[in-house]
Amino acid sequence: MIAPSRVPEPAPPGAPPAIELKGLTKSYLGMAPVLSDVSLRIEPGSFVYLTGVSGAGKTTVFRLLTLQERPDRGEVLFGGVNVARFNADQRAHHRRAIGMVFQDYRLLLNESVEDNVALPQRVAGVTGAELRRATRARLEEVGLAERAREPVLGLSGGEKQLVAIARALAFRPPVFFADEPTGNLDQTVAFKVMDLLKRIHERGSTVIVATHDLNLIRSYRARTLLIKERKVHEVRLVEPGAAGRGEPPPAPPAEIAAAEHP
Amino acid sequence: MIYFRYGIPRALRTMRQNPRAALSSVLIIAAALSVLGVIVLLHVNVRHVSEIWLSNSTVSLFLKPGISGAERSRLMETLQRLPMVRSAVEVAPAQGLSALTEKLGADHTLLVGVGRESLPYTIDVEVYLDFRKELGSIAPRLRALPGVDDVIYADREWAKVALFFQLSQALGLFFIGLMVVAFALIVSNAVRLSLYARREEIEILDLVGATRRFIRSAFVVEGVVLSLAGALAALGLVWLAYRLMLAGLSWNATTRHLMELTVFFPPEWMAPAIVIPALLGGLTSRFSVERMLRELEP
Repeated sequence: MIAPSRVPEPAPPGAPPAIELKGLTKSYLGMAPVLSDVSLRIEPGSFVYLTGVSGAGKTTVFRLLTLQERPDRGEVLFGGVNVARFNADQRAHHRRAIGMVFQDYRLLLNESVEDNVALPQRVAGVTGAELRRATRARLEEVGLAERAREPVLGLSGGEKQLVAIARALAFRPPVFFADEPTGNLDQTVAFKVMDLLKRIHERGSTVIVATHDLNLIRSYRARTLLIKERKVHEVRLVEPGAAGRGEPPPAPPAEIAAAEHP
Repeated sequence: MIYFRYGIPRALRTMRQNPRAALSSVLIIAAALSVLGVIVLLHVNVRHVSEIWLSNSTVSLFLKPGISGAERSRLMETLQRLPMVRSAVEVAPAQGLSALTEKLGADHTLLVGVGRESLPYTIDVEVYLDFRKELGSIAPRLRALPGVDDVIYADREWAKVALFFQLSQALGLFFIGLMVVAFALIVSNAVRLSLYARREEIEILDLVGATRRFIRSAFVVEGVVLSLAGALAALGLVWLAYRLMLAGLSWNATTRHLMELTVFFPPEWMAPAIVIPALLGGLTSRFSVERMLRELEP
């Protein structure tokens, strides 16, 4: 299993933010922008929620951060490096340094659990015993080692998401993105997935979760960014990283409630 | 290296996992290549037959009636000294009649009433191929030799065959070119259909950090393997069709002669006939994947 919980050390003063968006504007097909002049800093080792009503632009931010989209204007900086205009090869190498989890899992359904988990390392040229050992270790982290040879197709939604998380952990990514990771899961499984994400964070990764599930935000309190009217708004429930699951949640601010019940 | 480490195993595995899709792709490629193969074979045979015709460089010298044996001998000596003459063979009237009878076959009754004295002595002169095109100017010189009554050679037929040969070559090459383009389009469409069915796989590879080269590798190998299998199947089908055609020709005495003239692809063509479609298949796959990857560009 993943290493025991601990709150990651704060980044040293003067260190560049893990992620920084500067003056980001994005529109589709020449229509009104989904995001307009958005700027944002995410410090290394932080846990951040991106929330907002459907269509607010959560997925657009997620796609910009994972280089699936290019901004019309502005910069996407990782550790101070602008990655927004990376070419295909640069993008491929950059993606090896970030973990990604999606609402629809994005797994090769006809392949086995271990083949899916091994994919990022295989892509990076890892082979043989080293690949098998690393794959096994990651499957153990998410508790699926016993099901390594089963096809993904036969797994439940929660198990598929665990496979996706194990795959995303391939290179111990310093930054981990999850887009509605619990969107297709029932509450119990959703909490299990969130537990895992929290542990990844506690191990030192910067974790960014796009979700509209207010229950999750309430249960795992962290820095919350609300996307509304083409801008990103800071919403402080509690101090970032100061609490965990099980503590009584504070009353949600009006924007969060509005995000849940627009 | 990527091809050995990932491309080949992945391509073989995909084909094993989707045997029906792989088989239908092979059949589509085999069908396209079979049509191409038949056209090429037709082209080869037209060329072969034309070359046989064009290599016929015999000139028949009809000698004057009543020419003596001594005069014939002197004429033969003169002919053999000429630089363009490869061989000269005297044909007596009886031999000529016999050869004509054989040539006419079932129609030999046409010669009823024709006596050996009705035919003149002839000399069949074979000129070197280098002089073949100059027969028009050589013939009058031969006609002017003492004892020669007339000279006959297949000048007009040669010109017609040469024209037919050139036309058939051009037409054949045009259709072969057309079929190569059609083959590339057919393979490209088959590959693209298969790619669209696997768009998700390509997207996932892209998301986990696969380079373009890495993503391409499995699809290029798949294109090569499927086209290779298609080419082998097509070669088998064309060969089968050729054997069936020969069997059909052998039943009839008239067409049996055609059977002797037809040829299959020369052995040295076999390797290119398999390798070129395989390479084309790989290239087509590569372009199709590139196109899809461009669609995935942010």
